[in-house]
Amino acid sequence: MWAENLEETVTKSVVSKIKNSDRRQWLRYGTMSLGILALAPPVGFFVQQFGTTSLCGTFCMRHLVSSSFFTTLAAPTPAMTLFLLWLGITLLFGRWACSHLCPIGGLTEFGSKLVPGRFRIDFARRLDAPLFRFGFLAAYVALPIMGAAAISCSFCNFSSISEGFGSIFVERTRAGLLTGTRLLSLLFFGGFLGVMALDGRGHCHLVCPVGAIDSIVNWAGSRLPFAFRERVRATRCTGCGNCAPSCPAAAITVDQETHKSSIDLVRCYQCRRCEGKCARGAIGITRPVPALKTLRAPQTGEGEPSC
Amino acid sequence: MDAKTKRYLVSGASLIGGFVLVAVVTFVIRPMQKDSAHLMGTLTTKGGVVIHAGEFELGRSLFGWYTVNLTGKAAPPIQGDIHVEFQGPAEINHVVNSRFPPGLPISNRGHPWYQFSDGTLRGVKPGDPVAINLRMQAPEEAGEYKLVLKNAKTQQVYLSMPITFKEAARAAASEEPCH
Repeated sequence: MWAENLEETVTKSVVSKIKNSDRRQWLRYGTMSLGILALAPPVGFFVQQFGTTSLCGTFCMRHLVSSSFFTTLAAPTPAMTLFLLWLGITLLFGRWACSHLCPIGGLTEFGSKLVPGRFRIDFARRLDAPLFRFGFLAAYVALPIMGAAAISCSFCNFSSISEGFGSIFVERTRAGLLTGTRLLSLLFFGGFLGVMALDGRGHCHLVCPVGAIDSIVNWAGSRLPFAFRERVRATRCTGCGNCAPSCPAAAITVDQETHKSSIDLVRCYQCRRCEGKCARGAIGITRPVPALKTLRAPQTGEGEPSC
Repeated sequence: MDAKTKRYLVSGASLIGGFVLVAVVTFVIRPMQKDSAHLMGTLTTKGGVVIHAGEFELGRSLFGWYTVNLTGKAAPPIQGDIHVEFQGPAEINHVVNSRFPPGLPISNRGHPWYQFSDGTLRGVKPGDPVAINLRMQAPEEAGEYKLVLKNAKTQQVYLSMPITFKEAARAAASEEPCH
């Protein structure tokens, strides 16, 4: 009898959780899983088409950021194509690729769900994360030119996290993982800045060179009239501030004078958690509204302005 | 200190912090890097092309062993079974592994992945990528070792990749291994 009651209670709880959960997040988890299957070992069905199994070598995007960009531009590799496609998506639709497709961010975000909340660290609010990342990017580009190419391969979150995940399933890849620097890299990026981070994306906020470039493109492209971005519709926003704490990147601030929220597009990686928190539906992925419509908005109720 | 000044200080510290983190990490891990190297070469019927050989200093391994990753391609017409062998002046405990095939191979890439067992790549097709991982215990004396990839049946050598262990003083004068 008690077993039936327990089953009923658990079923009700699960059904109610699914019903009340944000479908955008389920969609995101789905695409993140696809990204992992497509790009990370042990499957990597997309990278296998190019005769490899991981994001190293042919698909090394961090290598492009460091020293070989112009060499690779002359003879495009799959990595270069993927990198340009990634930035193209960001230019048009915002940081969809970082939040929905990146297997590295996806793996640590899923991994962080296993860590109790009280042990997670909110890196985004403790530091000025974008500037820290730009500082990291500057050193990442500068040091190899100065002859210290150490971090390009041996200290790479793309390689260590994806290989670390793959080695759970494939015994023989563990041997390659256990070099001194690779192991430290896995513990630092995958552990400390990964699963121990509040949203599992501490390494995205602080040290990812691809993410740093992506965030610049996100911010710069937001001025284009056809570009979709995560925006706040000013006419709907009441400045209640419910959205700000839900943002894992600390990208939302509420202006105390205008009582309107705004999103910092250099920080935002478009996880869309804030959309589910806004009762008035003020936050969404939209194109910028032309100035004329902005003026008319209060009268017609359509084409609300955004900030 | 007002809020604006504090914000500027945090921003400045963050920017410098990111740069310093990379710099510090780079110089801290440099000594550790001396226990691993990325080797590159091409397997050919004429004995192979060595693009990047391995060179280590004795006594610089972090955990008492060295690791090399050899990547390359099997240039046509090489195909069939390729045996991987580690040779040298002294016996060293070592383990050879292959990154390929993937854990869950997808076979719609033109032809199926080859298999790896008993130190042999089985069913290699022309143009296939090769990625060998070799872990070896630190040798007691300097010397030149070789990672040899050869035809498992005819023993024809497709690539002979030198891995040199030098005394620390001699190695300091030459270039450090590539990673």
